[in-house]
Amino acid sequence: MKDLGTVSQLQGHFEEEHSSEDKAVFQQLKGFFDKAKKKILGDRVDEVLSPNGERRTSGDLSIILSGYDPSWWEDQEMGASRSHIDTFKGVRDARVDFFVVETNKLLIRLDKLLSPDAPTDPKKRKAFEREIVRWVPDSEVPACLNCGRSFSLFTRRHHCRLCGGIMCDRCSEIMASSYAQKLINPAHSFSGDGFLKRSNSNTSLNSLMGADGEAVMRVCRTCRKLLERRDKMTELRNTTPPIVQIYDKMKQCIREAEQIIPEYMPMVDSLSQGETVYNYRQALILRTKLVKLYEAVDQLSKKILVMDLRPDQQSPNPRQVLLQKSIRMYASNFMQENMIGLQSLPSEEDYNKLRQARAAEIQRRIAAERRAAMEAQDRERAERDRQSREAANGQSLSPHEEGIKLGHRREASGGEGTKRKFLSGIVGSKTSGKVHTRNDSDGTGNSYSGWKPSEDPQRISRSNNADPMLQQMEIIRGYIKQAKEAHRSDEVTMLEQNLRDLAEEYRRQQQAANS
Amino acid sequence: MASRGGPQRPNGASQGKICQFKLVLLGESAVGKSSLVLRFVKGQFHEYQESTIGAAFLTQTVCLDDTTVKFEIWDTAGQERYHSLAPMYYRGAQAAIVVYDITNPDTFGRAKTWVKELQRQASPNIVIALAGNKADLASKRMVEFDEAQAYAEENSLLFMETSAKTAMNVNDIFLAIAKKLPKSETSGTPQPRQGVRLNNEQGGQQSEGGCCK
Repeated sequence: MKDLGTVSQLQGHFEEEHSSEDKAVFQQLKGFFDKAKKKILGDRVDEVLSPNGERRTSGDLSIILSGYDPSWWEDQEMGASRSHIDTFKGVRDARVDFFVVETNKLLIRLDKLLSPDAPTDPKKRKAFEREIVRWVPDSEVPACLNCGRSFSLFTRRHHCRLCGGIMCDRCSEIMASSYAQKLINPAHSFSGDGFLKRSNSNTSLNSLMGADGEAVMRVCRTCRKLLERRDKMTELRNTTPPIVQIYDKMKQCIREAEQIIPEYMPMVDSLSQGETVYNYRQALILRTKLVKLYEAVDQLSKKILVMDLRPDQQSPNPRQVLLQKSIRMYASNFMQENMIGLQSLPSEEDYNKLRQARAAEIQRRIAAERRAAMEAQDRERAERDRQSREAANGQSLSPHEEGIKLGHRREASGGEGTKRKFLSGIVGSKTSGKVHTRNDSDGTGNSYSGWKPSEDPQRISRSNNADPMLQQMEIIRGYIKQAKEAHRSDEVTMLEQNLRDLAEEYRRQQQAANS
Repeated sequence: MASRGGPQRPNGASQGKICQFKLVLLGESAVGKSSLVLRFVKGQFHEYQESTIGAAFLTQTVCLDDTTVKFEIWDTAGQERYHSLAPMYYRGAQAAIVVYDITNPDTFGRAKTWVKELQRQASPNIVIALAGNKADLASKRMVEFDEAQAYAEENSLLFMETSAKTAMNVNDIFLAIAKKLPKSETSGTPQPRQGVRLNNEQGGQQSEGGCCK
């Protein structure tokens, strides 16, 4: 076979030699493709290919030939997956452990170094320090491990008092001892910088005093990092950020308000109807309290909204802003729900008017009822007279007629009655027949185990003008007598209890009236 | 103050627990409160029921599964002059039936006022039932069933239309209340006599404690 080398040569060769068999080759190729496609793609090809396989648009053809239409591809199965979390955790835990152990070691040493019986004399102190921490021998370290400067007469070796490592003066850190105190005892108050600023003059730390007379300690950068990290963690754990404090305060106010509202609402309802169940002043105090709480909630939530949590950063964290907005929204929702529902009390003057109006209304109703009762009595008397007259005439009433008359009589105080009896024959469930009785005796319904004292027939004439409370006590006494006669011990107990309550209430009312 | 109901009878050899509940009836005058309880307690109906003076007292026992419920019923007078007595009875009550007359819309309004008063001043756990009485007088109806039902649902009240005359729903409403009341020994009626005894004991202890020795 001839090697045609470049593409242009191949093209030339093709045009020269094979232009005549062009069609045949194309057909042949197409046959291959079709077969292959049918195998690979199955039925789908049939849909795309026209029946005779000849007339196709170029677009179709390119898709078919390249096989790039993603819709033809089947969903790929999920490949093998592996979780690296455990590995990650293992590595991380080991690191955390390392740092925790290291930091704890440093803190223990720091505690020892700061013990009150540590010598102050520089020479003795050095010996004391070396007792606690093994210092790396000078000979082992020819150059600063941090910056690579070789030590000489001018570049002195310095030891970290916590790990014993060697570094040059420039790479060492000077820790204030008050900061060290705070590290080992978080209760120790501390303010200012934990580490002193390096100044050029402060090259030697032979004295244990810093520039401002505070005791200091030389440590390496690694130790500083570890200690500062620990400090930050404790700080985070022990202090609540101001935004949280304000939020807590706001929640406290909301809780208090929520306790007061259910107490206050019925008070307003009752007072604005002129009732005397609640004390007006008390309601006023509660209302003032509520208003103050609402104001507090409003102000605190506004404070939270405008709070800049990270003044050092140019654009605040969007999530933080969202949180602040949500808190404010919550507060204003709370206020909308409760403030608007917070009915105002009537003014004291209005309240007095309301009270008087209500008292007058009650008096009016009582008077009207009394009048109605009197009228009813009169009518009853007239009725009785008429009945006795009729009886004297030897005429007896049919029960139905009697019902009508009684209904009319009831109408005087009730306003209904006649309408009932027209229906009495029509409406009636199956029970009505059985127990519908006009008898006062217990002849019917053995299933009814209830007990009812009988009424005193003389009561109306006796009781029209008495104090309802005294009247009720009289009634209860009558009931007790009947209950005793019927050997109803439970009922006697209940009634006696009620009589005691009534007496107590009556005594209280009298006292209130007198004072 | 108000009665906290009677003692629970330490009985129950044959039956299960016996619970005692104080129930109060409230409503405008002449809506049929007395007729309703008379039907429930005695199975009777009086075409001419005299108006109640003060508060009438009745008891009735119903059996509910293994529990015997004894109702201590206080049927209050609907007339305004006796209104001052009502708190005495609803304050210690575990249940209340507020009755209105379906043929009289004013009584329905008054029933709402009673419900409001109960919600404000009665025990917070009180079971309140609304009874639209005189349901036999359907042709004269002025308060629609749906309206009352909606109101009852809004205020979580039990609701039935009743007729003391035909006995329709009378026992049912009392039974529904009995079912809704808590049956455990502790949550039932507090025992007043024990309460008194406790107070006495406390008093004794206090006087002892105050003594110099």
